[in-house]
Amino acid sequence: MNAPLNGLLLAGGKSRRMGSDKADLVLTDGLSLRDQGLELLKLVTEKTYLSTAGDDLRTYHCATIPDLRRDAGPLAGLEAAFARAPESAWLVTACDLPFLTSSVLQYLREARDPDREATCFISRFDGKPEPLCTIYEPVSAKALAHCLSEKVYCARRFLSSLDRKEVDLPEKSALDNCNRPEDLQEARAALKNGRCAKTIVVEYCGILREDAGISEEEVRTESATAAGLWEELRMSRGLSLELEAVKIAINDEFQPWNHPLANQDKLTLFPPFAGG
Amino acid sequence: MFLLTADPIDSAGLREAASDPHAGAIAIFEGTVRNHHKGREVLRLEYEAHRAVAEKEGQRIVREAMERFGLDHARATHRTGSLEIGECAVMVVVSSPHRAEAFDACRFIIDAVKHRLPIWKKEFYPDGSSDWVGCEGCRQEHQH
Repeated sequence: MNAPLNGLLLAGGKSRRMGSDKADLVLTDGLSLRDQGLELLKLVTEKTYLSTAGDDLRTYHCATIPDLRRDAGPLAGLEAAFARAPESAWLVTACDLPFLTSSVLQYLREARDPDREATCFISRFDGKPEPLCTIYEPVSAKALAHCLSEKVYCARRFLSSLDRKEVDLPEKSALDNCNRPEDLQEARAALKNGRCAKTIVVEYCGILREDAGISEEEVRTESATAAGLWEELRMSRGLSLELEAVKIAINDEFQPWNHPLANQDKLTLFPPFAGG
Repeated sequence: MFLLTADPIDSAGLREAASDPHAGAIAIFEGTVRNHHKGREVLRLEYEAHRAVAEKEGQRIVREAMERFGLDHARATHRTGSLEIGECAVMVVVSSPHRAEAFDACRFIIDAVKHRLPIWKKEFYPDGSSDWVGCEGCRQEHQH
């Protein structure tokens, strides 16, 4: 007999890079990312809860599970969920996944292996397990308690330590997340115009050239803006800088990160300038 | 006018070109390669530039300075490639009727060159290691 499957939407993050609470953001059709995430979970789980920070005093029109500890990130949410319903398995998702669909969650539910500790997808960027769209079985609660007692708060590291079933994403971009205004603009552009494949010439400079191991390459991408392609390259090429530190040119003109990409554009990636 | 060059900067030539009977002041800034950075001994530097974008933006900087400070003449030249200690890496020469504008414009141009141009420098140290200036520590793995 499988443990019942509850849903937990993580929305208690600090949204530092976004500059405002991500969960309140509205993508395209009027629903906040928080409400959109809850609606999706409701379709595939028995009971759905919003995970919140312990000191969040706001009122929500849904069931909430406040964290029991501070500054432990997503794992604190899962800990509080297991404390609430130790016999349940938890499908954990995050509110900053604008491309997540009910069919992706349905796919995960059907792939679920209740005899393992977790069932998860693997990242399209680096092939590693994705902790924030994962079914955690009740048996994983013990490993979680151990992990937190060791002060390990990295959700990916926790998931990597579990006996897990890994499945490929049925929709490539389903777990692309958004941490910054630039990511949000990428998501809006992709949702509005659809994703279309294009060929982009990417030029790497300075430390980024050394990271990538090449000075120029042609890449195929479905990203709508430069920020979207940067996220793909950062992971796949092991680039050592964060978006905030990098400037770009498109066809040899400086452009902002939300600049749309067109087929055959040349994108040049500039590390922090250090002339003089 | 802005120039990127792989050859040693001709400072006397640049100074000469700024002579102008209308000018009462010539201000010159030369940036040279020093043998230390943040307490570390430095053996030499390598400059890398994105030529197309740096030249375009460099011209914009010089043009802005000409208009903003009413200059008679303005030139900036930046080196690329490998430079030894003491070599001139960047030179700015401006002339104007009065000294205040010349000083201000010279400062404006060198600051803009540092902040706006896609140019990078890599330092080489006595222990055989090297580092990109402005990216120190970027390669440290995320701590989890």
